Amino acid sequence: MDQLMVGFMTIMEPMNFLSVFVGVLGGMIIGAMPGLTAPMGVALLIPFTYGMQPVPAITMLVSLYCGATFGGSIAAILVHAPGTPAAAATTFDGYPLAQKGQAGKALGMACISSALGGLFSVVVLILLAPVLAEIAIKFGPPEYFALAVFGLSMISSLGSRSVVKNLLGGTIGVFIACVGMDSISGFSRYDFGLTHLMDGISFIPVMIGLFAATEVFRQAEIGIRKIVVDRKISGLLPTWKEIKSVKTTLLRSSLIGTFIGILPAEGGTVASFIGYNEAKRFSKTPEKFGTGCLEGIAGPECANNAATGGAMIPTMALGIPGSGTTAVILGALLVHGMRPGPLLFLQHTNVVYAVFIGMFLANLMFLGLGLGGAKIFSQILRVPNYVLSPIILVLCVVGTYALHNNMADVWIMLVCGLIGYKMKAYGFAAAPIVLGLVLGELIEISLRRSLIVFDNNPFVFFTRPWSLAFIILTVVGLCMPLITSWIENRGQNNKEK
Amino acid sequence: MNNKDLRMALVLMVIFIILYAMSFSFQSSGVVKSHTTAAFFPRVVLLVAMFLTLIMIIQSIRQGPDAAKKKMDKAVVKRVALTMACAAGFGLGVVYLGTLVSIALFIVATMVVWGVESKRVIIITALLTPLLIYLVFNQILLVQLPSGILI
Amino acid sequence: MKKSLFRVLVAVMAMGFLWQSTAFAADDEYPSKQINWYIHSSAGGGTDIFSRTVALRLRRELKANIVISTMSGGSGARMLNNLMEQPADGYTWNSFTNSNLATMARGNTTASREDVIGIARGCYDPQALVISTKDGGTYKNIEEVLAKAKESPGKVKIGVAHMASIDHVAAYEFGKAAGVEFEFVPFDGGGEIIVAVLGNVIDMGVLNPSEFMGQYEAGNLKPAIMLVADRLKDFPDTPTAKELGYDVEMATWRGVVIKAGTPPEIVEKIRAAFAKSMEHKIYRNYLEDNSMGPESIMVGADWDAFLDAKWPIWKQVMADLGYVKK
Repeated sequence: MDQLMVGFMTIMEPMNFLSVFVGVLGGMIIGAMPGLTAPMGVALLIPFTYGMQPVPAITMLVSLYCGATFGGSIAAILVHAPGTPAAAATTFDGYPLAQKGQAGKALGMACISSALGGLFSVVVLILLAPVLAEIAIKFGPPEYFALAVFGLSMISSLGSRSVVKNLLGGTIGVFIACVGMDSISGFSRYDFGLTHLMDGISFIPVMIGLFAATEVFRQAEIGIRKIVVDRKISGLLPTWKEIKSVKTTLLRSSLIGTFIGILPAEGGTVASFIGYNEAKRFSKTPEKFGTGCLEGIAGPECANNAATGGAMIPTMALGIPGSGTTAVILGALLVHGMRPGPLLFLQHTNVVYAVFIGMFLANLMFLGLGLGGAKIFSQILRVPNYVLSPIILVLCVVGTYALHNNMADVWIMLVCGLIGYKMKAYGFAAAPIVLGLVLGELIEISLRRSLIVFDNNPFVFFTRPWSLAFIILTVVGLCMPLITSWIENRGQNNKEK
Repeated sequence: MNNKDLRMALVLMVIFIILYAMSFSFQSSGVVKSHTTAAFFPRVVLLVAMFLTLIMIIQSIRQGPDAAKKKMDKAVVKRVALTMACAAGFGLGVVYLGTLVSIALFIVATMVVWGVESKRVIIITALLTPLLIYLVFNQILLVQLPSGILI
Repeated sequence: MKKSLFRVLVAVMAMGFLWQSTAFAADDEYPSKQINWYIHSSAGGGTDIFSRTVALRLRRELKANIVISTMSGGSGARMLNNLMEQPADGYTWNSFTNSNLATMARGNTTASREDVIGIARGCYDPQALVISTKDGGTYKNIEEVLAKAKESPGKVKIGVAHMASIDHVAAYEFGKAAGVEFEFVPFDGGGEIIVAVLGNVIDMGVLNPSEFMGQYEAGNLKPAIMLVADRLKDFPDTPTAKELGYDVEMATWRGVVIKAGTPPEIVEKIRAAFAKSMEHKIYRNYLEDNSMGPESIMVGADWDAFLDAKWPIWKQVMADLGYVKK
């Protein structure tokens, strides 16, 4: 408790407070730009923190991480461009709600759920970090495989109405993840002799193409449109009643996000998809998902911000990064003379707790900035679509290029935009493809790594407890709709009799 | 019979078969024998994909005919196609002309294609966007945007 | 009115011409324009942080604008191909690591060892074979691991970060010297290997001290052997490969190369700037924080000789392991 007080006092020093503010604001801007991601922002910032004290330096990076994870949802809701990969699931309900003229409500919901998820995970981080870090060690290759299979089982319910087309889309996504260097054998596949493709097709350009560029082409179909957004309604925030109505979703997503965050191989992106899917599965009105319901925004947004605190757990307590961004933060900790690992909490107690309190403050800060800004941000929709759409495409191109300084990514993004526009006419949806692509590498590598480690024994997935648990969850999840509809049918039949 | 789905499924099937055939040309180490090769997983995925495509083919044959297609207006099709062409030209322009010039050209071209009449709106957007992109990316984020023969 | 406008135009053009010619005049003095420094791995990785840390001082030493960008693709293949397309004028630099040498050795790039000149090496992070000491651990020392490997060939599992990488080559060379056969398990990085060693999924992992230092201090992991000649200051109790009679020396190194054929005076100027920048406190602190010694720094001809020594070894191992492009 004393350490928390000391940490609190430290953060309240003007310089530290300012660094939280700068981190959050910078993070929100970077997060909102498609293509600019949190790891990149943190990496760009590190050289500037060399001359700073450890507390403001690390706090600034961590705040940027929190801010960027929330910032991704702004572009996702307003213009259908997931600013960060973790915001992809937010487009499903956030964009439709904004298009109905209630952008403020969508942004406010995203902001509140992000902050609550983030705060939850920071509290867990402060109280239970060393204990929960053990989970990361329990997760071997078979567990990751089972988790990836569980994640992939969601594609049957995400996307269009045709189950076969969803599954096929997901399979194509998994296949796209196969392109490039195979990290098990060390040989390149399907690169067509292009060095550009040897590193594989990363999912950010695909995501930007399928979601944002496709939307630009769809706007081209509509052509010049009269502005219908009512200034007053568009700025309205969610009511207290509406927030209370999603409280179970928030709790569930906080738990999911923190748990997925702890696992070193997965982060906010998978957490947000699972958060969305579970919100839909347990919802009383699953049919409203995809049309702009608040649960569909709260589910993924809460989960991806809960993953920030979760990802910090193994980073600080084990010295093993829990996500791409925390890998960069780990490097920054080393630069400032702190060696993450089991002893960090003993050796640098004051710095560690100050950083945790700083992270807590960062979540509160973007709550304030986000709610305050929601009214302003939602005015973007008052810009006519013939001005907004070309600018969005410019941002897509420039952002995708900035990702790896690679024109190939830009072409991949544009081609995906075209495919995304065309495939809708054939009844395919973008979500299963993206999910397949996100999980594809994990599923392949964890399967093949398990086979190596356990001497090609395929039963290993059923004999280890965590892995078995996820496989049972998958089977139950897949059979649930069948069982419930069977019970309902029987109930109706009985009544008829 | 749902012709649209059937055509799509057949095209996909052909692509999957070609990709499957390609997997036989992958290199493998020959020394590390206990590991699955690079071709193992893509083949599994492609087999699953082919199976699903087969189901799609069967479904499309058993289904009723295509619902009456609502034809898109010719002008709309033209506008979408031209927007895509502008986007492709933008990509090429970034490489050959330089980013900032291409941004301005792309915005003018798209807006003209969409039929925006106000010249003022076009010019202001075309000038402000590259300026902002330059400030944010080149100056603040230190990203090197490609510069071609122009800026 | 028109006349004065014309005059202004002429004046502007004349000034532009003058400015151009002064720019040309300054061309004799390297560097007179922006230097592009490419790295093959993504932002925030080890190579990125190394490059950015050196560049902090380099910009002042050379009084030049140095821009570091990622050029990913094929483990440095694209970056090296690009270097070959640029003029040999000292304005294009590449960070150069084991992975890039492996890419050359595998024939995946148009560049070969002779096509690049070494500027300086900044990191030399020794490879260690690490075992778990958590709850007593399965093995006590490297002899026990080797005994197990002799007893059941191919059953002792070693975690490496990717195949055909420095980790893989290090474990393979050590196994060859010790006369045993290991099973290699590829992971995506040091963190994942640590998790697998701690979780008893694999028997041993190939890691760098900076990666496992935290867990070592906490008593969960220990290096069983260091693939270096002399014992390290931080690990006085860990035997080295040389002590135990294995002629294997493996480390993760990072440095900078430019295109061969660059005028010698430019090469020397860059080398001198690197030497000074890496003496600075900022860089020394960086090395110390990452558990590397000052011997990491190697400038100029020494680093070229180092690359010359490593080149045939990597070509041989890549061929032995079947990784050379046919």
